[in-house]
Amino acid sequence: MLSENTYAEYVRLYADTILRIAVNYCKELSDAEDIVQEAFLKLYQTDTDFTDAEHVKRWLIRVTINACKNHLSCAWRRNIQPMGFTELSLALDHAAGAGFAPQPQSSEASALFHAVASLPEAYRSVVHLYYYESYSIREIAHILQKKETTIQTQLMRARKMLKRQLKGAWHDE
Amino acid sequence: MNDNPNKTYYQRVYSNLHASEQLKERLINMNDPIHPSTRPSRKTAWKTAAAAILLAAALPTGAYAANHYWGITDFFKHTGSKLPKEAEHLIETDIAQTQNDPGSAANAPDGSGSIPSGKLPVSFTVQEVLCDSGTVSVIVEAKAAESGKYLLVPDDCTTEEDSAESIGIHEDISIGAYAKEKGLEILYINSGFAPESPFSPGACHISAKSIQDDTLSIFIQADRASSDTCLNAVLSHTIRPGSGSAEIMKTSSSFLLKDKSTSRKTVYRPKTSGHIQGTEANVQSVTIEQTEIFTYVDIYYRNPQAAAETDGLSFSITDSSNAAWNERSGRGIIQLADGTYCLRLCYDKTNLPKTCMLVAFDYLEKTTYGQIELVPVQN
Repeated sequence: MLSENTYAEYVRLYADTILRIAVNYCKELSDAEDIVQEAFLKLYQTDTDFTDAEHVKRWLIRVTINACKNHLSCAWRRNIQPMGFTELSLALDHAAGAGFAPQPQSSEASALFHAVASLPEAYRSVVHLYYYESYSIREIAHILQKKETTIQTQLMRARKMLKRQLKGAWHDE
Repeated sequence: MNDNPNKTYYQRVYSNLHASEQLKERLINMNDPIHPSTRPSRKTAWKTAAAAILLAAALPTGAYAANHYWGITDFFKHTGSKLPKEAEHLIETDIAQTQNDPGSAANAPDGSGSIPSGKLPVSFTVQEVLCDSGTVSVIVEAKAAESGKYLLVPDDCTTEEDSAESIGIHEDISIGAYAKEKGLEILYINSGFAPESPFSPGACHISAKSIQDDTLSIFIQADRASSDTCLNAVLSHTIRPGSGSAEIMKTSSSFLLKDKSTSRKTVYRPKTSGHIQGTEANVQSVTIEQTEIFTYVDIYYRNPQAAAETDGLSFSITDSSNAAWNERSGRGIIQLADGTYCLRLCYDKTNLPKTCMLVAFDYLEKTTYGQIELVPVQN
């Protein structure tokens, strides 16, 4: 198990990263926070022999995505409809008080959140890991335990969808 | 400098999203060596309870007092279920418990918040425990030491702006306004299994119900992570003043859980083929275990495409007439050493069927692949 100080350091380093991934999946801040706690509790309990901080980060991302999938799978079985885009905006507005800094380009942010939220769940983590965390396709394939060709395909489709939604705000690559 | 304009745009937007300091503090406190903070998950605040509304309506001007005990059976009803009659005798009410007092950390001069439990403004008592082979349910009563001074509110799932009804107080005002009107100081309360307890953090449900202004009934339900008959359970409790103070007071209680339930387990196999149309996946067997409280389903399958794009494969159970079983919770997917996957589900108690249907679907693509008839394996 990690030492107390090391664990706390990882919380400070990666809580934001994990929350962003969970929000992208769940669209709801309270669910995302639950998943963040689940992921960090697993980190606290794991006996995994981490080689470095990057190893911990990738492990946390993988655990978080699995927890998100489990959450979505349960919601599907129970026929719970995912939150709509309006509700997503409300959730993100709600976050403004605690964790979401005010920003002048709110319509720009809202447009991107809406566009990402409308992507298939599987694409969202790929997009986030590529555009926010700047991982390469090979690294994403390793983290998500998928084939590189699958990641390439998902990223290509996601780009087209984002372009369709965001028009001029999203550039051709 | 990022020369990809899409990355710049994406990072500019998402860099504004942060985990709150409160969340980070909760995460770090989970590692508190003396009193690991509570492990939450799947929390829900009480919405409305008809009985409490009626009783509260009779007390419109006094301090809120539902004057009603809320036990495990009440919380089962609240979550849309019913505790089977045959499970009621398994509820333990006389629970030997120890309050874990940090002692030397008295009055927390180091700011650790570790104050002897006797000096805390709230006491915590484990009132009911219910356990079977897969799940444990606990009722904790949080009660203010001083009457008429505090309003106890569940932490994490409520804020001062939330309606008082969200914690079961029948008043059409916010929690903050209610407390102000009654001259009460808000204390946010949290209880949950400590990380070292043998319960799975990923499947923990916590609900809370205000019994009186100064009394909160907390229902905690978690998956077991150990098959031992006797389990040492540790509950962590926190008290956070609503005054904006950063101080968090902590204590914990320990008790022994004994699983007195009985269970029947049957293995089912696909009547014909276990192949799921449209995929390469193949269902091998399904184990259904019935206890006095729940029905647990473990679905064993192989899925060569799990690492590919079609990895949203999941399952649910219906009876032979296609009526869905009432699911309580998903318990995650594990991969066994031989590569087989096991999806674990929990349903309301259902009699072990002669046949049932396994419905395969893709929760990512929102499509149903089809269904497989399951029949029991003859011994």
